[in-house]
Amino acid sequence: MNPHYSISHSDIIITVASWEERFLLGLEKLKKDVRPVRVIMFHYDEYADWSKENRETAQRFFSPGVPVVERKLFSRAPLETWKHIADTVFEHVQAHQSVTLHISTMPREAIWIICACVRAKGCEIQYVYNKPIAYAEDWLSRDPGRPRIVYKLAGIFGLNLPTTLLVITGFDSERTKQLVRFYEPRNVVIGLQQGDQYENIIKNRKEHQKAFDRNKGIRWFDVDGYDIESTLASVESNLKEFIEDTNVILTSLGPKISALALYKYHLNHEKAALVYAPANEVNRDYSNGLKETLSGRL
Amino acid sequence: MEEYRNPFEYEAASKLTPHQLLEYYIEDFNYSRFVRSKRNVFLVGERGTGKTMALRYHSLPVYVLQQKKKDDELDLSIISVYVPCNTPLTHRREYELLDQLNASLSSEHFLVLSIMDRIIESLSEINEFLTSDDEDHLRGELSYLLNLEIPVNVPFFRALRLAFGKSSSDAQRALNTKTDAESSLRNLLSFTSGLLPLLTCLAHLPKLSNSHFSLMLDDVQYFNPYQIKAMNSWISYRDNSLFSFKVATTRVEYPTLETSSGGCILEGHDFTRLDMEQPYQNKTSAFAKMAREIISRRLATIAVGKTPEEYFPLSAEMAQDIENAEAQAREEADEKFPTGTTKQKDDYIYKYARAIYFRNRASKANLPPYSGFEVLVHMSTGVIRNLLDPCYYMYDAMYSQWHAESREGKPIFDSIPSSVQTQVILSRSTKKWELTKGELDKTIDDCSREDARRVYQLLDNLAILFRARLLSEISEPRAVSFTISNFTHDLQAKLEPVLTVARKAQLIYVYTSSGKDLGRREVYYMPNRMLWPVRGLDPIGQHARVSIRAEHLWNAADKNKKIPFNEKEEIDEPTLFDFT
Repeated sequence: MNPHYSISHSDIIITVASWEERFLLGLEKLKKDVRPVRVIMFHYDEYADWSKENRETAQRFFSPGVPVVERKLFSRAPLETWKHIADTVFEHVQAHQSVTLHISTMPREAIWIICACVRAKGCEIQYVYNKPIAYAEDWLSRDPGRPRIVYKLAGIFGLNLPTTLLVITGFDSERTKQLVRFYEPRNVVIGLQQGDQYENIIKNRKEHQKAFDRNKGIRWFDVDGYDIESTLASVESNLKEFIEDTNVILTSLGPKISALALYKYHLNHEKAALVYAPANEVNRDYSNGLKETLSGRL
Repeated sequence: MEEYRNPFEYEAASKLTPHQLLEYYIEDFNYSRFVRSKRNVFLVGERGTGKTMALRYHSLPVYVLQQKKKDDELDLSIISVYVPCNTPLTHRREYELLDQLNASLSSEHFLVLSIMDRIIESLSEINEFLTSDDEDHLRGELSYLLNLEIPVNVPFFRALRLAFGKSSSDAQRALNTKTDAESSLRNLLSFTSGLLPLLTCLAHLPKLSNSHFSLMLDDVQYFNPYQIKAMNSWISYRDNSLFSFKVATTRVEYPTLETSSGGCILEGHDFTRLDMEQPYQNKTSAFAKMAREIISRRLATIAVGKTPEEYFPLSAEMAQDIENAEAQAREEADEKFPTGTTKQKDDYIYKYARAIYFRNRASKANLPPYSGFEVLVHMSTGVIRNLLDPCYYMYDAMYSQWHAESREGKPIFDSIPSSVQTQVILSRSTKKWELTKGELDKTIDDCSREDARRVYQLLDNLAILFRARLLSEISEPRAVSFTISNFTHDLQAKLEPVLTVARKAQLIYVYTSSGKDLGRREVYYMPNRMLWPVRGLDPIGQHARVSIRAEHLWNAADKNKKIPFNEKEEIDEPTLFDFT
């Protein structure tokens, strides 16, 4: 039995449809465990063709009996995305209902906006994340968009304070470099994922250490991005000296659960802002299979 | 253990302390007379061209320190206030969720407060600036005019900054609310209700009665459209006796000149534009002089007592080979112009000696031993950061070697051996191509895979063209910049996005100069010369530009087709007025 998987019934499942196998496999598993009364399924318009088949199958899973509300989101139109999420949650989620977020294939920006909108309704949130068997060998994403601070999760910035950027890294050191180049922070705090899953040591840890070998002032720390509480504790401890006197911006390019940990950090510290680093192109062979499911409560 | 300090550090100027700024900055009168003027000035240049350094050097805290060091009396006739704009507050985007009026008001509010806070922070640097009478007056006037609650029992400037901070936080909190932000936004300050009253009140102080406030806004390309329009409206303000704006922006994201009222500010009328990128052409150009001074100043910090040329010596082998090539060129000139003037012959040697050197090497397999200060300056392509980059890595290589040998004491390197220079130059050049080939779509905002491929193919084909020219007996073999001919609207629409990505990545720089028709400005393109060493090209180009048809550039970029090279091809020779 997986000690990290414990899921209970909730009223609503919110997911973002993808063409990846783990989206359907994960949703099928959730149907039995969660027994929702409604499913809200977003999908990104830019990848509508790729996700079409999986969306149709997902509709069939829950039909009849459980309505599946479908809504479009847009990678390149964050304003529309924010409005669609806010309107959908406003319309289809009742106050204090319980909500399960199926975050496996949910972009981090969507995770944060959905969390904020659902939480504003006083709902309890549990999350489910499905690890794939493997990721694409050559590339996962490319063509980065300009990093952006997430609407309404933008913290409270002091006037003319230096910036501190915290990044929980992923497999692409260029995206981390892009964030540093864009925000030109005084302090950079980098959380490196522990372990060698998915060749993490070579593709993430070593790549980042090499990419930033000239930047001697960086604060490095180890993190287990698959564990929300330990990630939160690491972030708390590494930002302690910066949170009062600098403008702190946070982002995750690593495991999706670490994005939830950063959201919790933002809830604990209203000053800190969440930043999203978009990619305009994603590999169609992003991942395959479903290896392990992790879950928890926010 | 000695703390490692690389004298060629080129971290963002925003991270340097006032002391370091004074230590490193080379004052350039061409800029400083504008920065310290009462005019509105736009400083335009890509990253690394020294905009931030120029602005920060003239800011009040650095000026105060400078005067203190000189033991001079503080002249407050111009008070320069540095306002960095690449801040998270600038990057907030909630204005997009608001109606136009509130979007405009809240955007201006944050901008105005940031400037006001910087003004007060800067004035705090002056010792015993306010008498208690001044303080009482200001407190009364400002709390009335700004409608802010200024805390009592706190030093006045600190109290004022707390009030500004609170006003900003209140508005941000309102924007963060999940419900109706518009109704929560209150007491928003604008230029006329915040900044202007503050400046007017300060000007009533006896010490500032003749002062002019030069408000230096850095990185305005990050402003949102409402902030750009607001700033332009302030710039269009006719009376510049009390304040003016110095605005630094990148060229590739040059902001619109539209004002809030729908008007437009005009260069020459409302503001003066200063180009911070300078084409480097020869040892006597302004940039060459500045580059030399910058490196000299950096060398002074490690007290080696060497000139830049001594510290970065040219390889003996290369020096000898170039001397031989010059002798060969002289012989050819004598043969070609038996009755020619000295100038004719010297021109010939200038044009062909280095080309002969590269041609003679063509049969040898290895790349030239690139080295020497002159090569470093040319490779910078007129950008200070590009000048310091290889120097940094050369010093770092020396230090790594010293450290690996477990040597004791303080490392002192009298010079950088030419072999180390060559190794670093080739490695940085290779790195540039790696960026070009595989990383643009990962690092440049909104650069598609297709455009990344096109930029690489364009530069690759330019390298092939320039190499072919270098090895040919043509009139301008070392030309490494180009102009675009037959640039139709259709081709412009295709090629511009590719050139924009290349400019954002600082792989191509764009300059203007006087064209052949007097009075007409001509745009020309100069690829980053750091690209050339690993392709066996001469980073020391010459005063010439290759005219290339737009369709050939597009075919090179899109279809990876070679750019046609005809040895009889025309070259745009510079006019007398170029490069001055």
